[in-house]
Amino acid sequence: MNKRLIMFIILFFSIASLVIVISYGTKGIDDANQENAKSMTIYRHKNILVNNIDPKDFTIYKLKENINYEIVKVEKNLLFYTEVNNKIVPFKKGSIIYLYYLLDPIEAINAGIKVEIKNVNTDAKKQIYYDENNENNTFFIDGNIKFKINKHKVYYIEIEILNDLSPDDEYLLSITLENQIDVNHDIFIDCNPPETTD
Amino acid sequence: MKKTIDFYGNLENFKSPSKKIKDKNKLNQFNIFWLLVKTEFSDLSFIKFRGNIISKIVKSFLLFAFFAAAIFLFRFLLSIYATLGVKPYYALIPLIIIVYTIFTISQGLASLSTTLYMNPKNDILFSFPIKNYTIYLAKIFARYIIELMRSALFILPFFIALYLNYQIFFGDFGLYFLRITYITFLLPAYSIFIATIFATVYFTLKSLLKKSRIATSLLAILIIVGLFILVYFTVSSLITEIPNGKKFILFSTFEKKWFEYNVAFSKLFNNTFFFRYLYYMIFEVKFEDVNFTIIRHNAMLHVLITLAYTLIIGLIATIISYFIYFKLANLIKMSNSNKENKGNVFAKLDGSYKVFLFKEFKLLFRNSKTLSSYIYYIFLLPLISFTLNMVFANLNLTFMGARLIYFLNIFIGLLILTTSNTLAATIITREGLELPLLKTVPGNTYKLITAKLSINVFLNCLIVLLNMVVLIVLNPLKEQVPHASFYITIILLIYNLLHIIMAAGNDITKPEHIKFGETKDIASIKNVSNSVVMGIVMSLFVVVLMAMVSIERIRYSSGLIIVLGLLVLGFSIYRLYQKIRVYYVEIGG
Repeated sequence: MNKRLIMFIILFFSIASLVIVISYGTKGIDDANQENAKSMTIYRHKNILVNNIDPKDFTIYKLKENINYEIVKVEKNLLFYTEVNNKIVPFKKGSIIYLYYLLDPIEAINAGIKVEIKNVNTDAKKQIYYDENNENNTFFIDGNIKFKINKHKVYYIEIEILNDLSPDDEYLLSITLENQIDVNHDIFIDCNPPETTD
Repeated sequence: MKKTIDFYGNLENFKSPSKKIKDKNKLNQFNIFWLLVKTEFSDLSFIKFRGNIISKIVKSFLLFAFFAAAIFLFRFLLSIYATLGVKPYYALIPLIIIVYTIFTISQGLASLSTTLYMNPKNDILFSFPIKNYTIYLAKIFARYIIELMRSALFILPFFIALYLNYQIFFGDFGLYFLRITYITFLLPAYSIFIATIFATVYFTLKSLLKKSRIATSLLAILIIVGLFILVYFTVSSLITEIPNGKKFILFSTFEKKWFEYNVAFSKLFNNTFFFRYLYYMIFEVKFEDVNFTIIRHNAMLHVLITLAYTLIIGLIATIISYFIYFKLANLIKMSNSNKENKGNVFAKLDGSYKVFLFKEFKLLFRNSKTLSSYIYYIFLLPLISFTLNMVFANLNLTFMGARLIYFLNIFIGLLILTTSNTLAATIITREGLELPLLKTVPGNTYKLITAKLSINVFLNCLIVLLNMVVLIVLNPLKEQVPHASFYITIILLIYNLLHIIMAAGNDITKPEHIKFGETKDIASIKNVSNSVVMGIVMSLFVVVLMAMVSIERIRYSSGLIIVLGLLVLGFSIYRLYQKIRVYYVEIGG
C-alpha cells in the first residue's frame, strides 16, 4: 500500500480525534468552577467582525435555571467571544445581566440591533429594538424576566430575573443584526452593573 | 565523388527507392523533442485515455464527475472556512496559490533533479546526435504538462467553487473563467522554472546527504526537533490563563489567533510582487476594508506583468541550466561506492541468532535513505501524540471527554504502529529472489525468523516508550484516569506485538518474494496492504471492545483487554512457529 495513503489515513484519524474530543468531550469553563460559586460574573466579549457577515440572526443564548454557558450557538459567522471569570452563582431571583453594545447609539440604530427573549415552552416572546426614542422600553415575560433598555445609558440593556426559575423554564435570548455595518465593534454581556449607574 | 555516410547509414548520393519515406521519417529536433516528452509521461497514467471508444467515454465521464465532485467539495470546505469568521479572500486564496506553488516546486525539484541529473538514460541520450537544449526543454515541458494537469484538476475547480460561493467580487463568469484559466496555465510554468533554477542546488545537497549517513540523521533529527518546537509554540499560543490560575484553550482565542494569522498572511502576500498581481487579477473590482485591500488595474496589465515576470524567471532558469546543467550532466558518472573490506564480521559473532540479528541491523542502517526513513518512522507517533495530547491537556474535559481521550490515544497509537509494520508483513517477501540463498544458510529457521521479527519489535518498543514519555510529561488524564499512560503503553505493546506476529504469519503462508524480487516495489505487495487493513481493523476492534466492556470503569476494561490480548498473543506465537515448521520448507523451492 502506498506510503502517502497510509499517512493520509493516520492524519485523517488524528484530526478526526481532535474534532471528536473538542465537540463531544469538553465543557464550558464556568462549570469547572461552579463549586466555588459565590457571585455571578459572566464576561462575554466579542470583537465582532460586523463587516464580514450577513445581517442575520447570529447567536442564541440559552437561559435556564442556571445559565448554561456552553450553549452558545454560532450562526452566520457571528459569535460570542467566551471568556468567563471563575465566580458564578445560579441564575436566581434578583440576578441582572447587562448586555452592552460598544457602538455609539447612531451606529447601533443603523445596525438594527434587536433583542428578543422567548419562553421556549409557551412561545411567548418580547422584542426590544435598539432605539433611543423607544418610549416603551420595559418588557416582562411570564412575570419572571424583565428586560429594558436603559434610557439614559442607551448602550446597554438590562435583563433582570424577577423570580427563581424552575428547571423546566427555558428562555432563549437572541440578538439580531438587521443591517450590515462596516466597522469593527465589541459586544459583551456582563453581570456587573456599569460603573456609572443612573 | 566523395561519398559520405549519414547518421542512418545512408550513402549521401545513393538514391534508394525508399529515400523519400526515410526523409519523411527522419528525426528532426522537434520529433525528438516530442518523443522525449512522451517518454516522460509515466506520471500521467491516471488520466491517460486508452482502450476502445466506450472505455474512453467512460473515463471522460469519470473525469468530469471528478471535476464536479471537486467543485462540490471545495464549495463545502469554503463554507466551513467561512464559519471561522474570516472571508476566504483574506488569506485562503493566497494560501491555496502559495501551497500549490510550494508543492509544485518541491515536486518539481525532486522530479527534475532525478530526470535531469540522475536518470541513467541520460548517458545514452547525450551520446545521441540530439541537441542538449532539446533534451533539456523536453524534460521541462513534460514536467510542465504533468503539473498543468494537476493544476487543471485542483486549482480550476477551487476557483469555480469560489465563484459560485462569492460571485459578487468576481463579475461576469466568462471573463472570470478566462482569468482563472490563464492562472491555471501560468502557475505551473512559474513553479517549474523556479524548480529548475534550484534543481542543481537540490541535487548537489541530495548527493552530499546520500554520502553521509550522519549528516542525513542529523538533518532528520533537526527536522523532527523543529516540528516539536513548532507544535509546542503553536499550541502554547492558544492557551489562555483564566483568573483562577487554570489554563485552557478557548475557542475564542483560537478564533482571534486565526484571524490574526489570516490578516498577517494576507498582508505578506500583498507585498509579494508576482503573487500580488496574480491574486488581484482574480477579482473584478477594487475594494477595501479595514484589514484588506484589492488594487485592481486593467486585466491586460496584470497579464503582461505576470507573464513577463514568469518569462524572466524562465530565462534565468535556462541561462543557469545552460552553464551548469549541460556541463554537470556530462560529468555525472556512476561512481563505485567505497566498500571497505572490514573482514568477515559474521565470523566474530557466535550463535546464529546474533548473526541473523546483526544482518538485519546492517540492513536497517544500510544507507542514508533507509536510515532517515526509520528516524521519521520512530518519531511519527510521539510527534502526533505530542500534538494531540498537548491540546487535550488544556481542554476542560467532561467525564466522557476523558474517556474519549483515553480510547483515542490507544486507537491512534495502534493505528500508527500497526500500519507501519511493513517489516513484519514482508518478512519473507523482502528477501526477494535471494530467498533460496538464505535457505541454504546453516542455522535454525526459528532463530532466523525471530531475528527478523526482533528488529520490528525493537523499533516499535522504542516508539511506544517514547510515546509513554510524551504521555507522562503532558498527562492529559492525570485527574480522570490515574496511570493512564501506563495502561495505554501496555495495550499498545501487546496488540502491536500481536499484529507483528499475525502479519509475519501471513507473509510466511503466502510470500511474494518473486514479485518483490522482480519489481522491488514494496507498495505493490499485497501482504503489506493486508497488514495495513488488518492494523486498522485491529485498532478499531480493540477500542470498540473496550468501550463495550465499560466506558465508566477504565481500569476494568483495560485489564480485561490486556488479559485477552495476552491470551491471543500466546496462541499467535504458537501458531507462528507452527507455520514456520510447515511452510518454510515449502516456500522458495
